[in-house]
Amino acid sequence: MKLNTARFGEYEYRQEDVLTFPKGIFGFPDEKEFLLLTQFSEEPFMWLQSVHSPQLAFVLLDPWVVMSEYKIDLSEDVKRALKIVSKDQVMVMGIVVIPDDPKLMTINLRAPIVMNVKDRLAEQVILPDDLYPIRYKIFSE
Amino acid sequence: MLILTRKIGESLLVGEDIRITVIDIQKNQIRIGIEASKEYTILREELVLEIQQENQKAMEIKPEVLDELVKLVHPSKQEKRS
Repeated sequence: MKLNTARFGEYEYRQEDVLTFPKGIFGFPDEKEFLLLTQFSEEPFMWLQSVHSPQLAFVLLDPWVVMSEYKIDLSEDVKRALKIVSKDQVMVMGIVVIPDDPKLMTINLRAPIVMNVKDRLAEQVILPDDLYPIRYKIFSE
Repeated sequence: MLILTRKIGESLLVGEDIRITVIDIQKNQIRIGIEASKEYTILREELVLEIQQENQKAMEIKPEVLDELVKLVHPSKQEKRS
């Protein structure tokens, strides 16, 4: 299958690689299908590209890279919605905001993207307690 | 919008499985108790709005900023690329 993207041009993908977000992403409720792209970014970053909107893509970062003590407990609710039965199905990434000065970039640790990579289901989960900030600075001064 | 008056301790029922109770009232703050089945996610509205705005900002990354980022993350690649 072919996908048009604003950032990466035409991109060939397989239907089984599509990640489904049944609830969309906050602010983008109709965006339910995304692809996780690793080949267009430097590690440990990756892209979450919308299948249906060429211009819609997010940069994701492994939250444990910036905060080794990061810990989330998924509610039974989220586990059920994403069909999560074991830890090895789960991948958690934070959405990154990169302002004009990239040294000021932040990662959203409060509302991570939780994925069941085996069953290709995902959701942006707002963590119930306020332990982690929405804008956590990646580079400390 | 439906507007109702309630006193401390009084409740409202929304459908069959949500109960909203006024716990306490102070000058310009009220404490509200919500009992609902687990399928409902209850969040402060401003938190959801803030996360929506943050996502909006996240998708507005300029390509040239990304190149800068690569230099920050992998300083050694700077020379190879230019």
